[in-house]
Parts: sequence; C-alpha cells; structure tokens
Amino acid sequence: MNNKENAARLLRNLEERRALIQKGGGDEKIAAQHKKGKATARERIARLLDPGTFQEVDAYLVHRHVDFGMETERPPGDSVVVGFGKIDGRMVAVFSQDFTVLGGSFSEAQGQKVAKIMDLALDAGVPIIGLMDSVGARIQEGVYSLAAFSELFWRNTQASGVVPQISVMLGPCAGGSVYSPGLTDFVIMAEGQSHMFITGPKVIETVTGEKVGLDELGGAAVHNQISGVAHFSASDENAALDLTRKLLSYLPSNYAEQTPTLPPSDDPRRMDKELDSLIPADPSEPYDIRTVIERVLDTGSFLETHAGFAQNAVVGFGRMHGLSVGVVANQPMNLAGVLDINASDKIARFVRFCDAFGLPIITFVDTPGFLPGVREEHGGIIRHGAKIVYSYSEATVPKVTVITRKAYGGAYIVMSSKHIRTDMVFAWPSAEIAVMGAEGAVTILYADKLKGQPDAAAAAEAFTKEFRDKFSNPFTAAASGHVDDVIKPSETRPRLIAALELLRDKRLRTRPKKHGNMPL
Amino acid sequence: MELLEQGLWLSVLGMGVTFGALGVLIVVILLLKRLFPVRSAAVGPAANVAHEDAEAERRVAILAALWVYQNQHTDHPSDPNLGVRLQSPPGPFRRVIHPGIDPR
Repeated sequence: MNNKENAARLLRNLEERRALIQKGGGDEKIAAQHKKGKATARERIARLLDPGTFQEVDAYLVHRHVDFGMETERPPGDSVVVGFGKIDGRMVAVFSQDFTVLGGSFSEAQGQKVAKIMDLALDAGVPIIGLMDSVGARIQEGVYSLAAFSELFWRNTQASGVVPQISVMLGPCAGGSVYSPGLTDFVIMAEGQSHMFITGPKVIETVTGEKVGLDELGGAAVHNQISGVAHFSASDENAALDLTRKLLSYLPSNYAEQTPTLPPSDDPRRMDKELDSLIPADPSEPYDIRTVIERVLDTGSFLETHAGFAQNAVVGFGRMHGLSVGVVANQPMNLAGVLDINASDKIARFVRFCDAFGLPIITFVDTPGFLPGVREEHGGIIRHGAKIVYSYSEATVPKVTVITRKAYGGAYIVMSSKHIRTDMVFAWPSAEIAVMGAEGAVTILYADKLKGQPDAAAAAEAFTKEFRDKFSNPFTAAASGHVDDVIKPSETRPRLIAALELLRDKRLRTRPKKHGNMPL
Repeated sequence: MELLEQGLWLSVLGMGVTFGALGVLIVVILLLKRLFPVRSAAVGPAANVAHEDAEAERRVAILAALWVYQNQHTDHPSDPNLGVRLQSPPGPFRRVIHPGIDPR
C-alpha cells in the first residue's frame, strides 16, 4: 500500500466515524425526536450558532461502565454534543444534550465533556450556553453520574460572574439536574416541551397525595409566572434559540469586557413630548411604566426579562445610544408598584447581574412602599427587601435613577436612592418623595387636631393639601441635594445619555473583603 | 560709486520687468473677460437675480432664527456631540487597575 492509498484509507475511516457520530442515537431515535416536534442536539446547535462556525470537541469520547448492560451501549460522543462557535461573530461555548442517546441521561462521560468545554470557556472568557434535554442522571452509573453532576454545579458556581451562563430548556430536566440551570444567569423555557422539577408528579402523589400534571408542576408558564426560576418563555424551541441570540447581544462575553455597544439607531437628543403628560393627575391612577422605558431607551431596544414573574416590578435590558444598559422599574399598573418578596428577589438578582457584567443601571421609581400584610412579614419581606438595598449598595457600575412619581419611605431608599451611592438622581415634576403618602401621614401627624374638628373630613382634606404642598413635590428633596435635578419628562433621554457619558469611566474604591454576606 | 550705480540700475530694471509683466497680465485678463463674459450676466435680467439672492438669504435667515429659537426655547439639548462618548472605549482612567479599585 503506497502513501496515497494509506491516506485514503485513513481518511475514509475518519469520515465513516464522523458519519456515525452525526447519527447520534440512530435514525429511529432521531425520527422519534422529530415526531415530538423537537430537533436533535446538532440541529439545535446549527440553529443557534452562525452558520459554519461550530467546532466540536470530544466527539469520540465514550463511557467506561459495564453494569446493567452498559457494555453494549457505547455510542461515540455519549449523550451530549459540545464545542464552541460564534453568535453574531462573537465566540460562545455550547453543550447540547442529545435525547436520542440514552435519553440524554447525564453520565460520567457527559460530565467530562461539559466540564472540558466549560473550563475552556472560563479560560477564554466566553459565554456558556447549555441546551438542556435530558431524563436526568444515568442511573446505571450510580455515584459516577452524581459526581459528574457535582462537577457541573461546581463549574456553574465558578463561572458565575466571570462569563454569562444561559440555560435553554428544550425538554425534561428533573431531579438534581435542575440545579445547573438554577445556578445559571438566565433560563429560557420552550413552552409545551420543557419541564423542570425536583420531584416528579408520581413522587409527589406518593409522598403528599397531591395530584398534579407535568405542565402544572414545572412547565414554562409555572416557572415564568409563579416560581421565577425561568426568565423567558418561548413559543417553541426555535424561538428559544433566537431569543438566546438576542439576549447575548446585550451582554459582554465576560466580566472584564467592555459594555457592548451597537451602532446608534436612535437620536440621542430625541425628546418625547408624550412623556410630559403621561403621569395621571390623580396619584392613585396607574400608568404603564413600560411606556416610559420604551420611549426613553433607543426605540425598540427594550428586552424585558422575568416578564411574567412579580409583575409589580419590571427589569430588562435596553440600549442608550447603542450602549447596553440594565433597566429596573416599579410597575404602577400592577399592585400600584409596591415592593413585595418576589419583586425584591427579581430586582436584586437583576441588579447583581448587571453589576457583575459592567452594565450601567437605570432605575425608574414609582412605588408607594413595601406591600403590607401578615403573609409578607411572615414570608420574610425584611430579608428579601434587604436584598434590593444590598445589591444596589454593592453595585459599582454607573447608576442613574429617575423618580417619576411616588417614592415613599423605605422603598424610596432601597430603589437606588442618592443615599445608597447612586451617581445621578433625577426627578420629574410629578415626583412625591416622602416618608409616606399624604393621607397616611395626616392621620398620624394631625391625629390630635383632627379629633377636635367638627368636620373631620374637611379638616383632613385641608391637612392633606398642606402636606402635599410641602412634600408631594420633588423640590424639597432637590433643595437638600437628595435629588440632583428636577427635569421635564421629555428631557429624560438626553439627560440620561449625558449622565452615562459622564460615568463612562467610573471606578470606585472598594473595601478589601473575602465576600459580603448578602441576606439570602 | 560705480557699484552703487550698477545696483540702482539693476533695481530699476528688475522693477521694470516685474511691472511690465503685471501690465501684460492685466491686458490678458481683460482680453479673456471680453472673450468669455460672466455667464450669470447673460441669464435673465439683473433685477431678477438680485431678487432671487435676497429670497435665498431670507430663507437662510429664517432657518437660522428657527434653529436658535428651538435651542433657546424648547430645551432641546444643544450638545451636538451628545452620546458620542458612549460609542468610544473606556479611557485610561477606567482601564488602569490599582489595588482596591474596581476595574469595571
């Protein structure tokens, strides 16, 4: 055999092996996956990444186990496809669980492959994306499978704050495996085909007697609206993958990278006159804070996260003259914008993410305070509310606040007030900065005077007006320097852009410590 | 004395050549002007040209006044470079890392 023939034989052998690997669990399993309306692991990667950019790693890796017939089940590459590629020209690491191979079960081999690509991603400072579709731990491997899970969780923790981590749920994810997406920065769930739970419906029925279906227990709607485990809900898996690409466009590749900017698509000097008359004359009348956000940010740039969860707060990403920013706001349309346990968790986690990855934070405040009630107090609103003040106080990124209307009491303080080192605080003329609302304050301050009045209602109204004149405006706070400027609502966009320009090179001296002790 | 005379003579000669050349140039320019008259003078009556110029000037003046008025009376931000800094990478103030200073 001459050199040419030998090379041809070797290359043929390589191509045959490659073809086998491409088949995953085989034609039947692939057909079954398609029948369920689901794509294969490789098809998903192809959809997610820029065409032709995927570079696979560990395609030939096989497991070493022999119990329960595993010696005859050794598909090359095992139950996951890992590698790296590009999204919008930026490098990412990706692992995609292959449901056609032993149900995508998490094996020692899968753990090794995922760990390798995560280590590479961490060393290179590129985001990690996991496409999850697995029945859970590979029972046949016993503790080896659990150990592999642990390696994954440990790496998720190590990667936290170093590179963005995104979990895209495209199938089942049950038992201990849910802690990996639970540790990542963002969880995107495909409706109707993804489920997440620690214990399944059968176990729950056995232990507690509760009967519950898969979707009611851990479907996309549940985790997006009730538990808050998921940040995005997508109509199908293609939409989930497209959303992943969009989300990444707002994020830097790692904590040290410059805040992403796109070429500006909107006029930085644009002044939206509609904002001037947006706030209702009646302080108890709601309005949609999303309207404010969308009119202030670059047009069409707002991407809301956690949209279905704790809707009394709004968080998401946007752009200001092309620069990625994080936006936090109270939503007067829902529970009047009060802060409760879930809203506190939602805001605090988002603020910490923005701070970790250098995204400036813009906060719109309109909150009458924390939600009163026994359920909230017993649920630990003190502990949860403290998370907001902790996360804002800890954040060193540029912080700019706009008080649109109510900013009362403790809620005023925690919502990125000047007192917790927010760089610039603006107030609209409609802002009311006080310890509490006028009506409540009058019942306390003028209790004795009201007792002696023949017409208590009229007197209370007069006292309320007096209180409003004194405190229900932004000028008292501006007079003491607690607000930097009172601006017209239509001026908000250019004023915020100017503030962000000022703060572009902001840096802070932080006190040496191992790490803080956030009230979790 | 002879040298002084020579110097004066050379000066007069040099100036004469220069002014002579200038005179020739003036004659050439005048000839060219006659041969190729200014085109605008050939288009329409002179009164119309003056009227159009005045109209254009009036429009420019109105636009300038509007721009000044907008900047002074509508609170439109007057910084023409607003946002430009956001498009450029961080400066050395942010990039220099010192112990205890957050590099972000």
